[in-house]
Amino acid sequence: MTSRWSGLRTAYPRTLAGVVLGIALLLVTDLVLVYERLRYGRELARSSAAMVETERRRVAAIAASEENGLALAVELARREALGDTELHLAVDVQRSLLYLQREGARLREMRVRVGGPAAVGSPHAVVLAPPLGKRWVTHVVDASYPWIVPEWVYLDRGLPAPSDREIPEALGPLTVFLDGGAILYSLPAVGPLSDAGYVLPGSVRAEARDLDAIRENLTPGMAVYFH
Amino acid sequence: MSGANRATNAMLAAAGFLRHGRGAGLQLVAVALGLAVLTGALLVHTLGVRFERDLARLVLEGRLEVLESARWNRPTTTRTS
Repeated sequence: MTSRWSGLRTAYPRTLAGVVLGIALLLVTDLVLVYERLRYGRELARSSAAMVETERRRVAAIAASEENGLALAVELARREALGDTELHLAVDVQRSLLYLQREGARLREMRVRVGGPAAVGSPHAVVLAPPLGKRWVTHVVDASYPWIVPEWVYLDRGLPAPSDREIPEALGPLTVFLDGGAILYSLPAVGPLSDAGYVLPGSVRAEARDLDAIRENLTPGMAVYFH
Repeated sequence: MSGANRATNAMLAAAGFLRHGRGAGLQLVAVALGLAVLTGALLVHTLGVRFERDLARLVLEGRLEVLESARWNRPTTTRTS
């Protein structure tokens, strides 16, 4: 058995090396494809979970009716690379990254922490989860904004809730409010959110220096994509 | 050496490689071809899942006009207008 292969190696060293290299390349490609397949599957599952039944049916119907889905998939992938023509933010929830980008060009990449889902409030608990899909910036405020800290934040943190919960700078030096209630903030020096290990459920916490760097670009109406 | 001779020599060398060591070369090439087919199938499947993910995102974000626009720009689309 060994002599068969050693004979081949002696007689055709370059051809054998080429074939083995080709096999190795194919194996690496397969591994990358399997990894991507799993990633897309997870993202699809997350999107599906956020949809109502009619939206899920709509996706299934479009996917089933496409005659040349492969070409359309390639075109959509190309468009994703081009991206939105307007300046916008994109939050990759799984990788905990925030991007400032336009037409696929990433102008700044920022590490963030996304507040995981949590059931808050009593007696009727509401589940706050990270957004998915497109959101809009409603307003941008600085440190002087007197945020009235919701009572559930104190409860969630296991702290006693004071009667006066209006705390300036409780959301850090710069805060971006999104439609739907999600907040993009940074670690404040005061208030119940000043713990580095705690992130407001359903919201995103970025570094203050990153928010400050993109401050001029943050305007009401700006799109924020969560995926 | 003429082009025809070079091609003949290359074919003889390939045949020799495939036959060598009681078909060891042939087995290796078969493995490579099998892997290539598997890679192709995996690529098509992965693109299909990515397509569904992109569709789901477009539906969630209410941007189905992007899909319509993509339909008109994909390489195989035949425009009649």
